[in-house]
Amino acid sequence: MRKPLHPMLFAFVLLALCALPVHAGELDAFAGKTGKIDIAGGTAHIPVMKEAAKRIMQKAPGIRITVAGGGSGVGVQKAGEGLADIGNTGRALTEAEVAKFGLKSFAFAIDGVAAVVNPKNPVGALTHQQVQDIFAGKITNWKQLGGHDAAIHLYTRDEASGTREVFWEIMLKKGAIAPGANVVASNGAMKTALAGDADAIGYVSIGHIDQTIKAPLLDGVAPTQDNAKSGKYPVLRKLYMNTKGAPQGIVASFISYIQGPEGAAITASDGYIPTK
Amino acid sequence: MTAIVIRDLGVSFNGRSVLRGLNLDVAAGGPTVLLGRSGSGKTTLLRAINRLNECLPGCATTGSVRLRLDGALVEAYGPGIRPESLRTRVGMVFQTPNPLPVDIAGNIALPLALAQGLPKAEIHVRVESSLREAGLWDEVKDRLDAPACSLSGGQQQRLCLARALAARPEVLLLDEPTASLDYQASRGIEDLLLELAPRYTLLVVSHSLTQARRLGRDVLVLRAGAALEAVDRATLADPERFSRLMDELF
Amino acid sequence: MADALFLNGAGGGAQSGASAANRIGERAALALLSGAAGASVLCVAGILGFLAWFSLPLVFSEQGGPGQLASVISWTWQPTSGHFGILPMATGSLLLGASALGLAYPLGLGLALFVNGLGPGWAARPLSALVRLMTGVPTVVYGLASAFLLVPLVRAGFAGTSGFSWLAAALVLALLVLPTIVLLLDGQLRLVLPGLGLTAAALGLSRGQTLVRLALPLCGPGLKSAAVLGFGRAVGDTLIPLMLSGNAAQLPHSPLDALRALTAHIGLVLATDSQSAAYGSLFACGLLLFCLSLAANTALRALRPATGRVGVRVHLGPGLEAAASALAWTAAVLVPAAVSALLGFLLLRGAPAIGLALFFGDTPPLSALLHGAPVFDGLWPACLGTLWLVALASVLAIPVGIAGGIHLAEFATGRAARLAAFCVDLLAGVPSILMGLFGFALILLLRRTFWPSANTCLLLSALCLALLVLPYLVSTTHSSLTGLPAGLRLTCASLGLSRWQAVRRVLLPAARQGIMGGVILAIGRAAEDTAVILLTGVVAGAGRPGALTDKFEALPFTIYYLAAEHQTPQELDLAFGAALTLLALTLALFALARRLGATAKAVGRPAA
Repeated sequence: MRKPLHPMLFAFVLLALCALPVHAGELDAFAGKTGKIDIAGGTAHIPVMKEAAKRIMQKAPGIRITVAGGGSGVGVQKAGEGLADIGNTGRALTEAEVAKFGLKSFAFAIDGVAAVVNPKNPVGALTHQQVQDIFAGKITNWKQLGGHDAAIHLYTRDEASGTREVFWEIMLKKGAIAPGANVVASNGAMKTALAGDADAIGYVSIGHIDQTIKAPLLDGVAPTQDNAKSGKYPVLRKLYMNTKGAPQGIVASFISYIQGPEGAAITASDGYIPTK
Repeated sequence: MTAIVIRDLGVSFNGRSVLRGLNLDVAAGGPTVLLGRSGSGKTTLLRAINRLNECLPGCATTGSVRLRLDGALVEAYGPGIRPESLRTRVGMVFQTPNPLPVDIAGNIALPLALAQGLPKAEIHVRVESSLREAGLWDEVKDRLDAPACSLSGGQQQRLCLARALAARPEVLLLDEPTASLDYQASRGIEDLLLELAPRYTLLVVSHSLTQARRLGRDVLVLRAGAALEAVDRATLADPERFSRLMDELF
Repeated sequence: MADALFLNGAGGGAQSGASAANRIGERAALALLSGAAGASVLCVAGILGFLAWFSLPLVFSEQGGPGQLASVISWTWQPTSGHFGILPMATGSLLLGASALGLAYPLGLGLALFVNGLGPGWAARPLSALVRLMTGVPTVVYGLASAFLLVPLVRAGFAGTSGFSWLAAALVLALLVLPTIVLLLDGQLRLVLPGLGLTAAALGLSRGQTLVRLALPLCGPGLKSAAVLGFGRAVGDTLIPLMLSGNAAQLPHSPLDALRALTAHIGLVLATDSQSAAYGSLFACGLLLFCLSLAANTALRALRPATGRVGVRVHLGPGLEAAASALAWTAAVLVPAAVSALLGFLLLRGAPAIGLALFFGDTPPLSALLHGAPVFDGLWPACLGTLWLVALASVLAIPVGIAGGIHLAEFATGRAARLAAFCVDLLAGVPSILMGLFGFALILLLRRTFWPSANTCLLLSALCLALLVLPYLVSTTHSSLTGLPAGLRLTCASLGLSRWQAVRRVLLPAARQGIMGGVILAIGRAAEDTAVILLTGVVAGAGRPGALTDKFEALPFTIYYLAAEHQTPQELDLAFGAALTLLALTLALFALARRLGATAKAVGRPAA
């Protein structure tokens, strides 16, 4: 029994050495900035946040930025409780939230929310009323909309989601969502689910739309960011970063970065519309 | 009349040979007592007769074992014989009493129902008759549904004997049946065996020369798994030759 | 018990060879040991206390009136319109548990019978090995493989379902629970058969008759224990329902409908306003789950087989053997087929991804390893995170667990011992998501009281993981020590050794292998857990672990996250590669534990 342990022990020690946390020794030549930023909340924001974090961390290894999801509700809660430095939301804060937590909001992008289907689905256009009826469970088969004879599989988001809130308020006009709808936890998860299910319908942030899913026309208007910007596509929201009180130090720098020109470029390249 | 004819029997476990080239004739009735040192292969020999060795891993058996069943000599390892049905006709009693974990009546009824598929009425009859034969009926007739493990050691061994008898075997194999019993219980079992001898062929393995002297009509000594030597009654009776045999054997 | 053998022990003066300093050291050691055993009691009390405390707002609300409790005990979950009913989720958990058990139990029974004689002898060892392999597969890996193999099959095979359904979740839960049942029943049969085997054969009973009519009824209490354990595991699992059941908060009308389990509900809904009824409802869920564990545990204790031979009633009806045989063969074909399909699929999808790029992304490996260059799109940070997590959890849990086990085995007596043992068993049965919930609530409490900057982090996750694996360590140490021959203690006593000396110098070294086995099992369990870290600080993109108070990445969570929301096909490949890595890790650990002889008690792992 003794012998096999030695090489294992050696390997373990080797791994452990490599795993030693990055600490004071990492003061490389950069603006000498160190510290960490914990970001949590809206999942629509994640692509932008991750790209920005990557660039900053590559430039300044002393800074650690972690990005978590959870939905806008998480953003509010974590920022409000001080568990995260920046809480992202895909909807405006309510007055109660602002009063209770003392949060400050910083918008950095405009995003639309669109109903989406699988690319194999022949249905290319829907009306407002049809979308409401589909999600309420009144229309249950694609053939009622001109598609295949197949049952409609509904996908929706959890209650913490800002995307869901916007969709429900503006698109569904606060109508009911059928209780049998599958619940997924983020925009990314919604995309994955829709890309895999040919008879699915759900909703995502427009910035998340790519060739793996398809957004049918809504009342004749294509759900694109341009249409959102011009106001032709009605289901809109802004993407916000929120902090508890005024942001300090590298958090403030991060917010300025996102709202600045390089941040705007990242935002645009990820499919959102930067606010001015 | 010979009841068991064994020729050139060889049994090995995982290549290690326990019995080699064994020849044995057992006369009907008996009791025939088998003696030998520890490890000489007595139990293996017994188990070769009811093919119980096959339940142990790595066993290989060669040679021929013929038994007189229903008047004719039948090859126990022959293609037409199922081990399970053989074992209902060749009963076995073990060294340590091994009642099944059911009640007293169940110990006898269960094997009859499962292994022979007898109807309930017949089973009922046999339960009483075998318990009487084993001399246990009067002690247990009022508590047939008590757990078998509540009986004393001697009673349990009688129960196991009754269980073996209930199957109406023609041959009974007993592997040191009194080894774990006290003196009184042992004597009781020995007397019982002498009573049963006219009706069944009994082959008893024993560890005790004195028991062999008391019990055995024929006494055989197994040496190192290969040779069987008959011991005549004169040797057993004569104290001097008896003690020399004792020294030699044990 | 051990007491009587050591009457002269600690009391002896110079004659027992113990100097005063030694005796003080010994007293200290004994005190530490009993403290460690008390830790398990504290943990249970702590968890229960937290759940109750945080559920209080349900009953006493500031807004006035106990109305919130009523809103939680209702059938509608629609927070936007003020409905916080958790009954659909409670029903969902019970349905999943019952259906998973209903599938797994017959198959498990069949497999146990097959392996013990109903099937050909050559098949017994490979099948047993397969079942043991199944215990080493992390839950998240089952979830990943099923999400991409089983769900599309269900979707394609039945009309009107998206594939994410009660059926899919129940099938995989059954697979998860099956090894527990098989190993338990197999263990019982192996105990009982040697005594019966030759006897029954000599009476002319066939192997099938022996197994079905005699051995199985003898295992009576074991049969029921297996059912309770299996049900408990199925109800306590978080990841499979989360990934496969569709998470619709409703009562399903058919197995093809989606449902939501209590555990998945907690995982999904954790993040809402922490004063609201929605948040309080989470703790109500937690309380409910805890009570279910408690009920299961009490049932298990009541079913412990009485010592001594028990009379058995035997059914003499015909046809049982044929039915058992059919069941055994069905199980022996179905189960390996299902497992091979899942693992084979995993290998197919994951093997192409294996390579340096899997771990290091675009960053050159050497600079990542030696200079700490940040790695993006690679598994290295997650591997490191898992390593650190497991190391920390081990450091926290191993000393306490082993010490507690020693105390329970050697020194504890009377009510305290029974209480501690009960708490250890209870802790072992607590669903892991409750540990996570506990950790999260702990942080909130700390923030509001004496540590305002407390946050979910590596340390918290390690602490909660340590709590999770503590019961394994205690119980494997306990059973390793009690499994030593009683004569050993007698010998030590007769030589004049004190109790502590005997434990330290003779018993512990003798039980070393079993204890090591338990340690390795605990490490494996910590490495694969997802539910606990989900709530206590793991994130998808944190880079290398920094300080203990930082967020971190871990392999199981990376797999779950990528499975649920990969942005590109490459990210999905990463998930499969990660799954293979984690699988290799846990299988290696379990194989090692087996070589070191971990006892069968460790089989009752709570769910992930």
